[in-house]
Amino acid sequence: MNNSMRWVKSSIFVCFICSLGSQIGRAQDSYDVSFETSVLLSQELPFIQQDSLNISVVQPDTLPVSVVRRPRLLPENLGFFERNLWTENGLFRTMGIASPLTPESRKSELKLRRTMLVAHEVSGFVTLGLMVTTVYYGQKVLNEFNTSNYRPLLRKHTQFVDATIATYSITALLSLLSPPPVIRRDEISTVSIHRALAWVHVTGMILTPIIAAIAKKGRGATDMSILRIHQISAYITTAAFTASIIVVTF
Amino acid sequence: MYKKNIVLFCIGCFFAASTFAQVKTLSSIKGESSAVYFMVHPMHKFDATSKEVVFTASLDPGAKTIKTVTAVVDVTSFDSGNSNRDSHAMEVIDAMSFPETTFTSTSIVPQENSLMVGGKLTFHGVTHDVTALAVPEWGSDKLVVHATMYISLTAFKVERPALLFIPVEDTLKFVLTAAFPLK
Repeated sequence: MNNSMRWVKSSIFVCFICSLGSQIGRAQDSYDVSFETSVLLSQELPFIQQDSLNISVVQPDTLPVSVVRRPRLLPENLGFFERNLWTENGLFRTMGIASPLTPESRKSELKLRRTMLVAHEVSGFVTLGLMVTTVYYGQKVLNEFNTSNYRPLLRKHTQFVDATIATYSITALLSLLSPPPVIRRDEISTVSIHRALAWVHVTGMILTPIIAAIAKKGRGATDMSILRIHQISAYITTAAFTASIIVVTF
Repeated sequence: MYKKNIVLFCIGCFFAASTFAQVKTLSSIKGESSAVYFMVHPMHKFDATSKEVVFTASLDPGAKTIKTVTAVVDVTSFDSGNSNRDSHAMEVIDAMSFPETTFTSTSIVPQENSLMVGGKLTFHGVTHDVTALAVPEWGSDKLVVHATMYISLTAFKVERPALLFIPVEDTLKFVLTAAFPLK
């Protein structure tokens, strides 16, 4: 009897020590959970968060709560064309050209955007080739101004001018009309420089032919000083266009 | 009887001590943890960083061991300093369908001063076994782990982004930094 009483006392003592340990362990830190020794304990504390400490306890073998914020369908920073064409009430959607703004429609729009931007790249290279050729023949026209080669060279120059304006317009439209990207931040990057240079070559593409038209006087006469401005404008436009292509490679 | 009591006391202490075993499951400190990917294009190299990453680790600070680790990163949060490039990356990995990448460790093998972490990486909706080399830095109040792993884009069915029709290299390098509070 005495012996069994001692056993009971000892058992109670052991249980007391164990429970004391687990209680202290539990109280020690709200994020301190011993999974190895107490499965039950870990089940009792499925998820505790301590915002102030930025720490949390999760069950073992479970992933933390998703960190993904629901992605916006359109970026906040939209350009003039993007805002007026591709937003929820944009022209393309109200006219029925584009589907209503949904995650699914955005997926297909992003594919369309990629296709348009690849075409923009191809068209840009074609335009660069035509632009350089136009400048080449333009320079030849100036070099042989009073020779018999002048007329055929001018004809070639004019043909290349037309082709350059056509492909340039296509290149610009492929970019301007493309659906908006997923992300657009306010930043200075190669693409923002590419866009800044576009303002230079767009201006040049508008002004250069106008200056050429002004340089033409009546009865086939030409004002050489204005033609010189046309020449400089063409070179600046070509340089800006070339730079805008080169900059995206960095 | 006295001896028996001592033994029982020791057993009790053992259980109590094991209850104190410092296996903690902690989440990483936001702002101090990051995921960076490095990509190589024949014309240039670039990297993009995300701070929207959460690591969770079961670790024993006393024994300085890491038992398991998981990671989740919001793929739309990577910033390479060029939003057009990031947007292109989002397109190729179909971020609208698969907005997060997850990693769950399956084995952590200690090496000299590092850990060889094996696990499953789910990226672009595809799961593959990957291995990362991790270097833990145990501080008094913080554990910082730097891990590096390489993956193949094509293995994860990602169409390699191209610039001027030239695609990037197939290997994508991830450098992960996870900081865990120990106090």
